[in-house]
Amino acid sequence: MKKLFLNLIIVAGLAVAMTACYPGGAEYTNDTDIILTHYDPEYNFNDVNTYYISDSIEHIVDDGDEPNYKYDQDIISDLSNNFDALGWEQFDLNDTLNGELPDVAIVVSAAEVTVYNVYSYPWYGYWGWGWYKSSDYYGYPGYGWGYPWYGGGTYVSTYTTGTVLWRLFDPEYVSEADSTINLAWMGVLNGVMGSGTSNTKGRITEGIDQAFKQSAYLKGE
Amino acid sequence: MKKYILIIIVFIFSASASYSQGTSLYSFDYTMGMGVGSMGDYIKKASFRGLTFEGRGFVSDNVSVGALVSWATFYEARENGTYVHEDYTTLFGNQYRYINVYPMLAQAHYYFGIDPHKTRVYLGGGIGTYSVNKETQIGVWALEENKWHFGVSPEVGVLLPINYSTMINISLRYNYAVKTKNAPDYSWLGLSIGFAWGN
Repeated sequence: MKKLFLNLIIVAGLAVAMTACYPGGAEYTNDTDIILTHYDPEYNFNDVNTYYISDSIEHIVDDGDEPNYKYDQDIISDLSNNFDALGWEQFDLNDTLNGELPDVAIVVSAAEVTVYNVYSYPWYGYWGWGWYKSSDYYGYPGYGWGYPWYGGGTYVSTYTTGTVLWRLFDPEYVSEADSTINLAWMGVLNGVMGSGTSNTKGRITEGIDQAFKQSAYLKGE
Repeated sequence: MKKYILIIIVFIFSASASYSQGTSLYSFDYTMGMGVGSMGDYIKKASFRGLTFEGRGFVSDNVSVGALVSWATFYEARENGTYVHEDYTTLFGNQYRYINVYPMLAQAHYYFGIDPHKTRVYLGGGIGTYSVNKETQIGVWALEENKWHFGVSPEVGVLLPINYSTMINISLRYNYAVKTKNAPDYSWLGLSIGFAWGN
């Protein structure tokens, strides 16, 4: 019995020793940078020729915190460059006066809160939207976002500090009946605007470029 | 999981000690592993973190039956990998891939030679359950898959006597955990080196 007990002690001791050297994972802040894209496989991106992108970014911050606007124009510019590279033409807002709509519109957000749940934020009527869908109202106040990929199993809904995300939708597919803006594409850069990180501008550019690179369906492929 | 392993360890001791022949053999080994097939595609690096503990009771001079419990961790970090989920979601970033395997098997072995004080080669195998925990960490998220699999494990090994009751055990084992409804199959080669002792 004494020998049995001793053997068990040896087994348990060595098992604990092996567990102690369990392999590491991420070590540095930028090891956790993520570029995530979703799309609606039912949407035909071949038909897209024009896009509208707001000239400002929705900032989501904790109460009492000041938004960081430093990279707004870089983000808008990087996104526009990539949409232009797809052969899409940026929509002229003056055309809305003639009742014309862009094929798709893009809304950009920067979440600077500790934990951000992407599915819990509806349309945000920020001042820079600039496009009146009709003469009656401004943007889509009170509308929720429709995520066609939602519910398909594993998905990511919460993001940590320093997330940039953009939502692309077709105004033709905004449902007034249930106040839902159905998305065709969404991109997320998680971690790029985290505190204590370096080369933020470069990481944003690289991240946006990668989001387009991994979304070949935007070119109809 | 820990509870199951503890039960198996106690079972190994009690089962192998109860045989009427009066001889039993225990071994405790350091185990290295290398994934093959789809598991090798997922993690290409060899595993150097593994332990195997087994007990065998002799039912004749050159045949033993017993049980085994083992653990191994396979790990690989991949920079800037792409992970596609159900076609419409793509995650790009550094990936940290883990597979933890916990075989718990009933075993039988045949020994060439009957003198326990001489080098003996043995052939055998196991059959039983494999608990497999697969985890892909991307950024601050983890995609996890924990499943129990049925599996088999052919083995070839050698016992090298050191003194009257202690031997060095070296064995090469192929593990195959069959696929389940929601999980793929896993297969890997394990090389174990350790001590065996008997009474």
